[in-house]
Amino acid sequence: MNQDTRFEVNEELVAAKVMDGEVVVINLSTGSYYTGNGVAGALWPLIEGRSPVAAMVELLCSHYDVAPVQAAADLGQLLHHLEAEQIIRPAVAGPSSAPADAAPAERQPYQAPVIEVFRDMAQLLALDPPMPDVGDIPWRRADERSHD
Amino acid sequence: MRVLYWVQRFWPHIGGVEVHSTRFLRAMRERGFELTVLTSPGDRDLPAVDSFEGIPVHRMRFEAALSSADPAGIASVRRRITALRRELGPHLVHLHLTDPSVFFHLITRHERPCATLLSLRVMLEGDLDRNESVLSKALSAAEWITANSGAVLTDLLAHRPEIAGRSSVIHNALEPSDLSPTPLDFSAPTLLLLGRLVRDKGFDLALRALSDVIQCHPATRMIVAGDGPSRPELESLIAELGLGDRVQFRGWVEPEKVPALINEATLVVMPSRWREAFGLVALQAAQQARPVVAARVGGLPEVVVDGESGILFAREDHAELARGLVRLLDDPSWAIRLGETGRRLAGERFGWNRHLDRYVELYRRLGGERE
Repeated sequence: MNQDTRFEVNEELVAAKVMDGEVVVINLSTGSYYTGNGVAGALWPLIEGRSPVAAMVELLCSHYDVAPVQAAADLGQLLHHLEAEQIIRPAVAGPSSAPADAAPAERQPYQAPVIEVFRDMAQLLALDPPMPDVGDIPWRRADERSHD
Repeated sequence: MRVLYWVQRFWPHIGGVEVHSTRFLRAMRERGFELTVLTSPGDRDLPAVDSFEGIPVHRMRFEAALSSADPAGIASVRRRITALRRELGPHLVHLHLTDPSVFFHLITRHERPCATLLSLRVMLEGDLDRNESVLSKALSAAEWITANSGAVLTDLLAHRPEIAGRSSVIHNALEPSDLSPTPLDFSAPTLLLLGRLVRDKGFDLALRALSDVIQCHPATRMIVAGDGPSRPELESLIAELGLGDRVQFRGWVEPEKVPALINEATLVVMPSRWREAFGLVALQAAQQARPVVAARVGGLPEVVVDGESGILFAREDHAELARGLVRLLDDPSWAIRLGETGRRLAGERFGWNRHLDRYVELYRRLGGERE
């Protein structure tokens, strides 16, 4: 990976959304769910926009209190993780468009960008027994019964 | 102290956990805790913001957001929970989750961080051995974990021995019944099944046992209280076994009417296939001095003491179940003695105030540390 390397989201397999600065990603093929912290959320539009690594390091250094060397190292780990999870892949084309800016307006304390994985969500959803909804449940609160 | 009480289903849903939650919340409020409920409406059309006897209830469609695999829906639910946590500023989050919605606790727990108490009331299913699983993360993130039976905790520790130092058993409990037990009727014995009509409850096994029991005690009949998807299969089996009108379906029974229902029974049967975490019906039966004949599964042997308050039989073995029922019906004085012992043990081991006191101590210790 060098400063010109670009990635793209594996859109056939992945659904993602940034809201309130944090990113939620689902790998539809594996059923794994991912949530990113605020710094990962700020980077996500650049990843989606196939921005080069250099642009992502620049974003980190301009919006957070972090040195370029540290930012590049942390970014490398994040991108490696995302690629290993098949969420992103090396891009074959250039930037798709100007990325939406999800970075904070004011300079922020830095946390390494991380994605937390929840590996068994599909399994849990399959296990979870939806309670049989029993229609008109013959149970009311004491205060309701008092009006009978 | 402010407590966010997070549970998969809550009133007006019905079931052992839901009934316990309503009673527990009333009692804990009386002890000075400020409680807010966070739950899911399930498939029902229920208000997003509600109140149960003055206790705020917030309902969010966790399962729908997760099962739709729509990140926007998940992010939207996360935003609502984050806002609730900010507004409430709880000192303690008391989770009862073993379902996928625990995911939302994990992704919002950094908002207004506070202690987490995780109470387990079912045998855990799912991936406990992998650190990246939702349940493993929930267990790791909890300051303290309670299990409602030794069976649940033992099962958990087999997977995650590292939680031994921050976990304990707090058995389920019930308030004393207002209704005194009535004498057991052996002239026309009644066997009671109470619970959801699903295959795991094993009610079909009890029907097969009934067809053996009536060879010795022809006046025996059975009440099935509850409802669920297995009812048509049970009705077919009744026809197949020629049990006819010996079996009466009562449908769902209001929680407060359960003691009276149990008083109609001579014996209470719990033939579960699945590993019941506790078996609240067995405790309700004991309160009414009814012997319980139960499968030797999960936490049931902690509630039904074999030969002292009831009889245990091997899972799936309807012939052994039938023999146990016949033994009790053959010997009314023994059955009465078992029922009385069960009633005494219910008060000694599963008293409601003792149960509450243990949670009060945990709430104060966990919540107070962060105040």
